[in-house]
Amino acid sequence: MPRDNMARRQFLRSGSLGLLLAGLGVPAASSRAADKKKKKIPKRVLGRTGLKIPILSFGVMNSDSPDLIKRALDSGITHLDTANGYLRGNSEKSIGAVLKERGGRDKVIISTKIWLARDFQKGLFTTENGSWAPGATPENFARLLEASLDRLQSDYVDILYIHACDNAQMVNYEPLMQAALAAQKAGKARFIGVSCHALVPEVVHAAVDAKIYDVAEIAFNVWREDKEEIRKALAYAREHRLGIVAMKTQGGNPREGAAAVNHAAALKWVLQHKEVTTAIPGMTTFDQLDLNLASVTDLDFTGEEKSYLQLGALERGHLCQGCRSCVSGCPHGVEIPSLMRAGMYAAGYGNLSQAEWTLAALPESIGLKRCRNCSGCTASCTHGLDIGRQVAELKHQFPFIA
Amino acid sequence: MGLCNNRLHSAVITLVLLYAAAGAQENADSSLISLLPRDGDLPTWRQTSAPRFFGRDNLFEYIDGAADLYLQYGFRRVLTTDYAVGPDSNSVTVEIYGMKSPLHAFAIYAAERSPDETPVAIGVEGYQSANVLNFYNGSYYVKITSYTLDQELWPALKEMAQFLAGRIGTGFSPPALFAVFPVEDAVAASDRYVPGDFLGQSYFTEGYRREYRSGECGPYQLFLVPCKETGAAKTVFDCYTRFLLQRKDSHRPEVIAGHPALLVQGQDRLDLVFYTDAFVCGALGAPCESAIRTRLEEMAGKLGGPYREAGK
Repeated sequence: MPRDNMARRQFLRSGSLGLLLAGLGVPAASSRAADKKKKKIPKRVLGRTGLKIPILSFGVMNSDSPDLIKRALDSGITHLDTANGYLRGNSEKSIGAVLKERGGRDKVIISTKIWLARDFQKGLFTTENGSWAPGATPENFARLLEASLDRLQSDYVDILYIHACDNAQMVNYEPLMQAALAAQKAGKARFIGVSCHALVPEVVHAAVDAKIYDVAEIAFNVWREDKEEIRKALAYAREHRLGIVAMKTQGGNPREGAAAVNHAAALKWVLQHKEVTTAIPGMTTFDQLDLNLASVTDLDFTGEEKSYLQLGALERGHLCQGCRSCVSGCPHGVEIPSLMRAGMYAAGYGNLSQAEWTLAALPESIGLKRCRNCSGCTASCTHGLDIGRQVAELKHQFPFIA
Repeated sequence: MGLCNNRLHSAVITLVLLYAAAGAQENADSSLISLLPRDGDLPTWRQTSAPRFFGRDNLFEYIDGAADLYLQYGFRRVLTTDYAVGPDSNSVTVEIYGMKSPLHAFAIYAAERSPDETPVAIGVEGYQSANVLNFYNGSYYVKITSYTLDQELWPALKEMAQFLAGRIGTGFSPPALFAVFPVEDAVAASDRYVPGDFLGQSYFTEGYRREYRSGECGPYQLFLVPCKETGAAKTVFDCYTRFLLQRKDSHRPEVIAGHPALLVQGQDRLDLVFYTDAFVCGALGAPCESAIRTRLEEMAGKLGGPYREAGK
């Protein structure tokens, strides 16, 4: 008898499976996560595209596991976002392979982006080849789109972005506008858009005013300095039915040694903006996926998330922008911005040594000791930092310096 | 008095650290520049742009969302510069990515390659495809990109690649633990080393894998996770098998070469995982058991030998 068959029969006959597995440290019952009653992900309409998309999407840029993409789709995510350049096209290949295996292409919304050469110093597209991208011409745009479609094993993408248009001139770059429109007309892209990281308000306005774009994919998170301007731009987008997809919701650009981001809090903060149809966090683990799924079914902050966001403002420099407008408000000349930086190290990163070094490096005449604990701190922060409270916490933590 | 000394000491340390950080960056840039050819080294190559550098804090400005993976994979600093090559002055971009270690250089190199590309014997490993020649050597991942599909440019790209590989040095080898993997039915250029969140699991802090394809079994992959601390292998094995059982597929305990194992049998896939004192090892996706059992027994045999130390 073939071993496979015999083994399977023995296995099926086994009545004491739980016991055996217990010996391996494996619970026979499936995990709580799998048993949880699935909650549906809320959906929103993506501007004038009319696409109704779950507010959680999947940024497939560095996922190592096709199983993770499958689990995301099984969990109700329908929108996969990628780009032609991610992993030299291997991200697109992963999506293509998964969809080929599962079928149901029409039930999944795929967006990809075409990156073309730009002059980094001028911040403009260039027709010259360079910086690992071919020149920004309609021919190159069409060629790269074909390569993407090959890798995705699809005749079309649902949303096609011109990648990283970081100012109005790039949004209005006629050759690529025409190339995107041509792709749309040829049925290779259902909708077209721009993605951007910098000058988001300017880009959103330009994308609306250009009148050809359906979607803007923007870097948006709680740590952005220009979030008030972005909010105004979002209102403008909503008024003109430009769909908004949010990326970099976790802040992007992680620094070594930086405090861990509270993913749920950061994601909820973005999605509480109703103008944002969906967010595309990159996910590399099943745990992150489960956490994000749980987060988006209830966008109200928990107490812990609220605290984190208050702290997060500190941690990412939001509390102290270094504008020094507070300094003149202190009658004792305390070097408040440096104290705030020390507070960021202590509270944000849990790095007490760095905080201590920062405090110790200050001359006594302007340092922590110089603060006289005035009953009501007269220094005020234009960005909303509670200076008095932060300094009091430092004094409590570092009594030997205070 | 003591406190004053402490403060002075702390202030000095702060300044030294800041100075050291700036110095380290400068050194990294100098090291990268030193790899480039100087005038006359490659007569047909003419540098057309000054080298530009990007670090962990601004890599996004250069490669956008692709930066996520580079950062996760131990990126340190990149130099990028453009050249005009040959009589037609074809433009070519050279990028040299400095990574945390040779293993991290392999990780990012392997993540971006594809089995259908043409291997080239440059550095530890390289490939040429349409308009690119990429290779890794030591802690460096080098990408040479032309903007024409004309294969007449291939020899020139090779010339530059060989020059850079030579400057980086010799004596580097592929990651040692791949020798544990069976060779039969292996898919070429499918080796991956993933330095975090391996197989989508945060507790797999690193892992190696290789793809296989056989007429009998179809596609599957074998993987290996080294565990540096005593007892860690059993812990992560338990975590992973718990994860596999979420699928609610049939499952049973097994033994592979004397090591505890678990087999999970789904409708169209079969996963078999075991652990030793220093590794978690397994096969994923194979629909038939006999072939993968043989492969895993082969791996288990090697894991008890010299490779045990290689994982540490």
